[in-house]
Amino acid sequence: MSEAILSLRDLDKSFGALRVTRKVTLDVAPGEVHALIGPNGAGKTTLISQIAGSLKPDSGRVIFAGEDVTHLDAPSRAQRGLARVFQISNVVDSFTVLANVVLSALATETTAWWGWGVAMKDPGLRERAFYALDQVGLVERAPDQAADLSYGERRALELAMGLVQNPRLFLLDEPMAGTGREESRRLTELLRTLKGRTPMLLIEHDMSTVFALADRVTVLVDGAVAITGAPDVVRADRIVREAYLGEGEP
Amino acid sequence: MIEAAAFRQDEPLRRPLRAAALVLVALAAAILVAWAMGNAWWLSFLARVAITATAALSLSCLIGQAGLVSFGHAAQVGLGAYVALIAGEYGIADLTLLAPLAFVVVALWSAVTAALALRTRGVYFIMLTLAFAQMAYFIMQSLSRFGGDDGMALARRATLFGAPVLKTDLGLALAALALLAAALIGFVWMTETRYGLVLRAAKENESRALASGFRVFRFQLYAYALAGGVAALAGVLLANQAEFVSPSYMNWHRSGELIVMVVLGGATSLPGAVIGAAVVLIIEEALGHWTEFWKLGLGLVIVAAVLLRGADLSALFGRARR
Repeated sequence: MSEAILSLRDLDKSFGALRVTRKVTLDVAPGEVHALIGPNGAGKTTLISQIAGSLKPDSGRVIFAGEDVTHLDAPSRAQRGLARVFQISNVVDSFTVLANVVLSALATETTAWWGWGVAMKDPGLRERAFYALDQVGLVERAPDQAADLSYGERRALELAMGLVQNPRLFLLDEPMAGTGREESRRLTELLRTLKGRTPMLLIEHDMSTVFALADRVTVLVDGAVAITGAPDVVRADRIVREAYLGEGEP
Repeated sequence: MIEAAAFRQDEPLRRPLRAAALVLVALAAAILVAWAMGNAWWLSFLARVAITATAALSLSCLIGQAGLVSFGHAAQVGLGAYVALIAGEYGIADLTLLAPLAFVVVALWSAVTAALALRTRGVYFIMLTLAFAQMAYFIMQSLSRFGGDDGMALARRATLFGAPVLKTDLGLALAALALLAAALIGFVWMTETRYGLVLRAAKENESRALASGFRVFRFQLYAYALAGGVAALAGVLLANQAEFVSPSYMNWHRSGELIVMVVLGGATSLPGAVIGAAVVLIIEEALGHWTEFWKLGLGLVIVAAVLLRGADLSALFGRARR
């Protein structure tokens, strides 16, 4: 795991007396889909926020693509190739689908973001945006307002907004949350097509998705890593069964 | 690669630019009519409308495009007026020098204050902008060298390349119209540039913009500085019209009035701010003759506008047209 795209080292975070992240050490290998599971309140989203840079850890380090980014803010980390898909869909509702993706594409433009041209008419930006929309199957929805999308389509739009930036790591916080069975199936399929190209750190409650996609699984319990390993190993683990999966099983 | 289909947002500028042109042509026509009829009062009133509209427009850019509600924007106008006054005392009265000077000085003041205010959001931001405006107010009030509380007459009206273009009422009205036109078209255009797109996205969803990799703080700081600079240019013209500058230009009532104009015109509509400014000034003049309590009438108009169409006069007119 020497060439990990993302390495967390002894990450620690407390909110007052509540210690939500305890000495978390974790590696995501290039090309890997790494699932992060755990019961509610285990500190999964808090951990993602510390990776994305919207929360600062109390101690420990975040190393992204070989660079210590612990003290960089969220925009700087995004510019280095971290793309985050939020637990609650986070798009610009009043913009069109296309405008959302163009906006996202702008963030990683090598040319300056100021220019006199009308952004939505920029052929380079449009081409990149349409390419990303095509990958998630949203091309037909491009002219529609983001607010009019279904829940699953919004998740797909967020993925397109990440894809257009050619990220080096996707942070996916429960991409299936709130989607219907059919949408969930399609999103899983979509993530499977992205697998191998872009490494992902995936928080997901839906175990069938986790075991269908993940190369490795880390179980977080009370803010600490309980176990990391291949899906089969984790599924068989006694601690995991008790803390998480085992609930209700004979 | 997918061929880009023809979408309706391919002409995002058409509607607001048409509205802007309509507003500007109407104002230009009114100025010409007043001039042809030789009505000096109307000419000077229309100049005041154009100047105030420019100030309201720059605030509309902050409120409607950047989502930054400043409750101290009159200070930026007043500071621009003071730059005209103070520079005039030192013999600088040509617009080629005066206008850039006022723009830069007030844009810098805006940037410095915004650098602090932008660390807060919501009502705290509003209070900080008010606090900085009050600071500017009291600083100018204490400058006895430049009139102090009483204010001071301008040394002379500004010139352009040595020509006394602001000397006549018509000249002043046309200069105000030109400034308004440049600001309106410039701001409308800006909303559709890359910068404007990011600004609007950050207004609606800041965490999205941050997560996408935009340093929202910087974008908002530039917007605040730009709006301050444009307001300062309006202040220069205001000083030239009154030939007098006093701290009352920066009174917080005036900041409040500017917000009313923006909201009345429909906060997200830039041409709407011009309409809002015109409506408020017309009500002030029309009712101000009859009663001291003209603001009662303004209040009724605001209530009516809010009830009818979410405080959006331009939408109201739009509906009436259909």
